[in-house]
Amino acid sequence: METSRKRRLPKPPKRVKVRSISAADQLKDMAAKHPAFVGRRLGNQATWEGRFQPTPSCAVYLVRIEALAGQRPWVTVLDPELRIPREQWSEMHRFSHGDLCLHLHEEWTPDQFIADTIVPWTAFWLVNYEYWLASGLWLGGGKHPEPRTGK
Amino acid sequence: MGGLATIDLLQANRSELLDDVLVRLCNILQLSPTQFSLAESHYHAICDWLGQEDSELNQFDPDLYPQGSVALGTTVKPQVGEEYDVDLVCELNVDYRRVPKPVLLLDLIEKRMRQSERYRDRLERKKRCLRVNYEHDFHLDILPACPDSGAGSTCLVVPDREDVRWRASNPKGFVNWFKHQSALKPSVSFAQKAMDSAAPLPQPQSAEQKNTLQLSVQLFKRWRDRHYADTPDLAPVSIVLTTLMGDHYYGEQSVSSNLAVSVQAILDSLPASGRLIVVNPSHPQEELSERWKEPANYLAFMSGLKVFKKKLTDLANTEDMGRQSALLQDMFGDSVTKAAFAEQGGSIQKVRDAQSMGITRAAGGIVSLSSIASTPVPRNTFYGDL
Repeated sequence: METSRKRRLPKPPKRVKVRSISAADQLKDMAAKHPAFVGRRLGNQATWEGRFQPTPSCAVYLVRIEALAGQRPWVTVLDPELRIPREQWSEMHRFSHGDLCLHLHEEWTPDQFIADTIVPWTAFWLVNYEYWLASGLWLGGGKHPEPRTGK
Repeated sequence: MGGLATIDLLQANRSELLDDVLVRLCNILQLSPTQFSLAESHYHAICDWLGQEDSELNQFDPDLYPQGSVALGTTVKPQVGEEYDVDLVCELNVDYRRVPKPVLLLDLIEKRMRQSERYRDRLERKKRCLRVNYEHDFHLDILPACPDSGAGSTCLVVPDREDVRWRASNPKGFVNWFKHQSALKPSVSFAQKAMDSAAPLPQPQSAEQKNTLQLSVQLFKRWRDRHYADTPDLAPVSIVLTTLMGDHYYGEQSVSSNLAVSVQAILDSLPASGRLIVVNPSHPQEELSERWKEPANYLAFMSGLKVFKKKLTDLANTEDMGRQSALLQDMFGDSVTKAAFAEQGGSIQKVRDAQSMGITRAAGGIVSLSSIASTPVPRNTFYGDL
């Protein structure tokens, strides 16, 4: 999978490398914007646990965000357990490890603050999840990679 | 009251969000605006045909107007395979004491209708009314009626259930009572109706323009249709449910709270012994709940109502929208409930598309969506691996 994705990328003559925000700076920023989130750092990795309730009709979700500086953050719902049958994980924008697929690869870069991107996207994902529970439809849009055939 | 569907969903509280779903659900359940205007033009045409100069009925000055759920704005989609009833009264200016058998007037109406090629093949004679069948899932039921000159302005006599003799009725009076209960001023079309020879159907209201009482009656009837689906003979009739809801309306504005409050009040009003007697508010001599003389019917009503109340209580305490939807599906039907939630969810997407969605911190630092937030939700595309 990783190799096929690389092959598909266009080759820019000279890629401008974005400056990754360090784990310490991500933690500092999150503490200012969401002081109730419990954050900690382990070397280059920042981890938070925070609570989300997209609308007053929704449950309160305990969510964990894990971010290794320079890498795509991982978002997992810890509680309540998501009620999505395994065969529907993909259409519900859940990765095969159970974490949430919040954005296309290029929509998030390591120079962005998690509090400004991943956190609002998580709230938006959760509201779509709740409407899916209620209506049976995923209304949030999104993309799925082309199913690979052959080879 | 009005405007429920125009609320800012991302500023709404839980009860407002639930009411918005219920309003959307009622909108899905009721006669569509297209069906409504079709019914209206059909019945105007029938009224003209009955009253033409060459018609035997011309001398009786026929006046056709809606009664029941269409006049009240409380129509509910019939169960699968059935059609909407549009109930019409055909008031004829005849001294009913000189017409001992109502069937004679029904015969006259049918005879005139059969003279028209347009209607001939659409007619279906029922015991006490003449049905005109149309495409688009509805039919018109025409019930003959005569003024009850002794009883008062809008009082009528109509054929009894067996079409053997006349019985008192007051459909206009019932509509006026209902409007009064819901604290809605009669609309212009209704105020003028007494004067007009062919009264217009009340304008189709979208559900969000409806008042809480109308919406509650729609939901009460829908619950009845589902709860007694397998035992339709035990189901309480619409006019009884409408009267009970109206009698126990205390001005609550939220549909979900009103249902819970009114259903509890109805339960509280059940006598400890004997049975509840519901009389026609526009004609107090008339008992509407005669079917409850049969104990099985009354027991089925009481036990059904308790189940309904329990579910309404549960609805106020659901932990997420999935559970809320499951309860509503149980009470009012799967597909209409899911469609109502999908509509509301679609409106939230529009807020997002307009880029006016953001997040905010609620009590305890909980992250919530908001339309007046400082942190916007930036563009994203949910991605999924296959």
